[in-house]
Amino acid sequence: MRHIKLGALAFGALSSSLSLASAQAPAPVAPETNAPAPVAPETNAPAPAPEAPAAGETAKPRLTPPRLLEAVEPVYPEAERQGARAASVGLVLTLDAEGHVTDAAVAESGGEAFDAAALEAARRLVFAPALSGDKPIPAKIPFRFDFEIEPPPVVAAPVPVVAPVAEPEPTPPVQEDSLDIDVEGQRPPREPTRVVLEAQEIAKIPGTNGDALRGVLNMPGIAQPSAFEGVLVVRGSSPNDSLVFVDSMNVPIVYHFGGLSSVIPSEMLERIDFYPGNFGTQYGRASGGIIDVGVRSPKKQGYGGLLQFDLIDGRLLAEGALSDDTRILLAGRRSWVDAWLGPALESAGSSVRTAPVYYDYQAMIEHDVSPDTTLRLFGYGSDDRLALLVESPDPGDPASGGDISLHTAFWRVQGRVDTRLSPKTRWTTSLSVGRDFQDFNQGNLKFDFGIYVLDARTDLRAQILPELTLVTGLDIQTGSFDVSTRLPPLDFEDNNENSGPLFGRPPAELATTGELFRPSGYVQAEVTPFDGLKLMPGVRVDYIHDAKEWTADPRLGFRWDLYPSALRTTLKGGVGVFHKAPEPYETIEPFGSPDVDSERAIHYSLGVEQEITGPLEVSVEGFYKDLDRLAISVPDSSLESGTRYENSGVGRTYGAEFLLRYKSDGRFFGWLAYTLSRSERRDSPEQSYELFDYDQTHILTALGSYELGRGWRLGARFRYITGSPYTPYIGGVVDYDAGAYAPIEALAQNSSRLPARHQLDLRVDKTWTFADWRLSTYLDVQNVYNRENTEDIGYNYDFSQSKPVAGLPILPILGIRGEL
Amino acid sequence: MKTKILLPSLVSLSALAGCDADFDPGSNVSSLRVLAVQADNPFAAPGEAVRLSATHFDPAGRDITWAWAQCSNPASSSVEGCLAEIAETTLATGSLPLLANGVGQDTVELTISPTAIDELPEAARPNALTGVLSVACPGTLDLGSSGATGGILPFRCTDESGVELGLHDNIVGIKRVFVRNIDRNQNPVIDGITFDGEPWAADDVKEVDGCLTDDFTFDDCDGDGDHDIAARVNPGSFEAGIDEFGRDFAEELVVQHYATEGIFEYEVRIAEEPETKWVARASAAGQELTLWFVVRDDRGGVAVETRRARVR
Repeated sequence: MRHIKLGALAFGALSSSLSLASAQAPAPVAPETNAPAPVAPETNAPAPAPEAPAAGETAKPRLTPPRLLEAVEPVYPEAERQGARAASVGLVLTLDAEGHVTDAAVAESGGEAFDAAALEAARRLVFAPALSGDKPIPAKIPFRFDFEIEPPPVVAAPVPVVAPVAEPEPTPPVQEDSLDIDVEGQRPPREPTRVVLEAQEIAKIPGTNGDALRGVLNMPGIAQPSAFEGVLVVRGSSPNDSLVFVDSMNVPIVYHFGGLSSVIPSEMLERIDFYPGNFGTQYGRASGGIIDVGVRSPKKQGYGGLLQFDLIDGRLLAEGALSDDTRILLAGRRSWVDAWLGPALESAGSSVRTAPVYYDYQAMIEHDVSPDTTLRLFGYGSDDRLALLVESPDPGDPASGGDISLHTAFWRVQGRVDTRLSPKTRWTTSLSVGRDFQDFNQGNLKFDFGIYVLDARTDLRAQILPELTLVTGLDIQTGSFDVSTRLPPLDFEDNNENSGPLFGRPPAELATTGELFRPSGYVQAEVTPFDGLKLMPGVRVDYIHDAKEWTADPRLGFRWDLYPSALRTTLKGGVGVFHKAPEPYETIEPFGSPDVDSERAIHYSLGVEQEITGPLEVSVEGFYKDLDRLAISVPDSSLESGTRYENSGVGRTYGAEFLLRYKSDGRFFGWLAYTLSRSERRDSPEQSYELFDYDQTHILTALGSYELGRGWRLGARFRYITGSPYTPYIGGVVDYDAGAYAPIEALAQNSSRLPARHQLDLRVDKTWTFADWRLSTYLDVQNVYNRENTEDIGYNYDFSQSKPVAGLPILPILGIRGEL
Repeated sequence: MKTKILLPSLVSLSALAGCDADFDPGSNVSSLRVLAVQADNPFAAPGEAVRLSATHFDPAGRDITWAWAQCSNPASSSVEGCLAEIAETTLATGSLPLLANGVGQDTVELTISPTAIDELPEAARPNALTGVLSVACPGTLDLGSSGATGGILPFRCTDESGVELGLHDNIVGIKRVFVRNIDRNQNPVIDGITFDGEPWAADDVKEVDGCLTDDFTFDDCDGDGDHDIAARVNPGSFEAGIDEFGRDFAEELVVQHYATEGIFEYEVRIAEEPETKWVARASAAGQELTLWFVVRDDRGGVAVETRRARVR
């Protein structure tokens, strides 16, 4: 019986955390250990040879037992963490002729909670089916899960961990009919409870085209301002208030043009940590939310890959082990929406000739330097391009003619060393170099920005006492940038700004180079004064060299398991200060004002989690954010840029989030998420509050996905979202230098609201599992009942008439995918 | 490091892709319109006089009351910037900073402030400008009253019944005069208009057929009475060089088309490729139509030509 050690990384933020388990690869990869992948029992226990037939009888066909293709890592029950005990659950699995588990029954109980966890995981095991000769047949087999838990401490949540190779254990002979999987649970310093989305959940959410980072948009607290905007709006924050990390290193964008897909393919993700607020001190320079994406390790044994095509893009991934301690992964993706969208637009009479093109690429090599130390080198990048030839300029702005091009790209090379200094101490150091650039050209107007970045992070986590875990670290951002523009002064702070046509307005030619240096240090503790209560105090100190500013962010969170049992009740909450560093264009001359300071937010949250049954749980949380020192742009003709910035803005966001979730039981998963919130801003304390551009009162998401059997899965998602606020126009004034009108806004900002949007998305998957590979096809139909959701308001030439602009109609996306 | 994506601010893909709602095009002149305001000196020096003249048309043939007001070096070069300064001045002084007003007052002269450049820091001097607000009211113009705009526009235009007219019915606009010590900008020169490839004289009223359609979709009439028209811009109008601040410049020119009736295939064309098609609608049978060709450069220069046609 071969023991396969898998680690379940348990972590989370104070409020809630989203984690993608590492069960996506055909062969499970342990985030904590370098355990070997499961080996087919037939390699160790050959199938019995058929008996010789008796005289006059037909020879019986050779029987081949099922072979495990896809192991699953069960979740160590939260209710049992207090006791920190090991357990073993014996099951009897019923497999169909395709190797799917159709039934699981407990043969040897390990306790109610462990039994439930084992049953939940068992339904997701995938086997190569038993064979009678060459014919697949159903089968019943015994199966066992062993649960173990390490004593704290911890690997803190957001920094992804590649665990050192565990001390090799003696490997008992594998019986042909059973496999043991050990599960190790590790407790994080901040948030032991997490909301876990399994890989199969993420990949099967309707309307997301299998994109994990788009799946995040279905969680409570995340708004969707427009179907065409690929931005993250977390608890009523501006998109610029939130940050995205890949393996704890900041990246500039997370989605390709318009949110079509994310820049890191889902197949590479090990986990997604989503913090809607009150996040730990290892994150800073943000006042909204945090998404930290953990990239998985390549396969530790053998090789694998996938090839996928759909209406939007095609992707290829290949990975494998170069040796026992070295492995590699290469992946790439390119869109081809331009191949059909451009001609479609042209045939529709549009003057646009081409459509957006994007691609992204990833390469990783990982090496186990020692049993306790792993080195990873990860290179990745993204490139979005749009090139148009517009022969007939838009009558609304003659500047929109001729050649128009937009190019946004970045690349990174990240190195990481992860060392377990002792059983209770882990040290992780990461270094990231790269470049971001963005350029835009339209006639005589242009914008060119480039920055070389060098970021470093080192993080030490140690359990000092049984009741005290400490995390300390340094997080340094540096950059060398160059920027040049030839644009009329524009308000980059106002999402809804329409200052009129650009043609004929005198452009300002600005250019500068310089360096950015933004170091920070942080300390975070987890204190357990008594069983059930965890206090998480911390402080972060930042220095912003370009603003000559020091900031300090004290934060405190808690989790209190009121009734630690199989049906857990947990009270959670926190308060903290979150400074958001100014954008470079706000501080660096001649674009910005050097005396602009960081914006500040104070987060308050209080909530409760309640387990109802094994897979069913509910969570309710209230939040309040107090914002001040918001950077406001003010027109100023005495400046070369025409704009200065002041920290005079204030704001507030408050609301509640509700999540009722049915965790995957192998057949069904789903959730109901609802957010009620209000987000307001004012340019100075003397003014009245007005609705913020990204305020959305109601956000409702209901989704579910059901495994029908025989490789079929059906899913549905319904969303209802309050329309975004906007400022109505009272008419237009002619700009005689452009020969076009500029709108005149009503005095009351954001006094109107777009109609609410709602739509239903459906998805059907069919998977065929073969001996060495798997073929999947899917049909993802978005906006099934073809609802004409209003995305914007369109106006006539002088803004005297208006009409809703509808978003995407029904959109079917067909895809096919092959995986080794 | 995070940088803001500029695309939503600068490019409207939906507009470029022809996703506009079904409105009548701006090229259709069916109400009072001011199609251009031309400055004899689009670039003027401090202390220099500039004459502005408006090209306008009212299908109803009403008397138009004009008002002209000035803003100097507004906080923003946008339309809103000049309006805001004029509104502030009006609020502070109790009256509009008028240059001229009166019935038929479709021209005005102004003198650029002698300190228009010197009052700005050196870095901001390339942006020195004087904005001129014009109001064309086909009724009674009450200056200094905020009207229905709540103070955004410090005047009120009412018809003969006393009903306030909205911005669609009385035309408000901003014209910029750029202030430079040395630089000058010539208004574009239109060498001529062609009709089906042949020169179209100003006094030549073309006889055309009308297309049977009620809307403004050119494809419905393609090949049914449409004509090739073009405004030929003098090559010398494409000014380029280095300005007095040492910056390269190369003008972009466009041709904008307007008509009292008919459909243009393209309302706006780049001046290097000015050809478009135009077709009259049968509903205008027997009427004489006016077409305007307005050529603009991106530094405030403008030129206008008109032609006429009759629908059989």
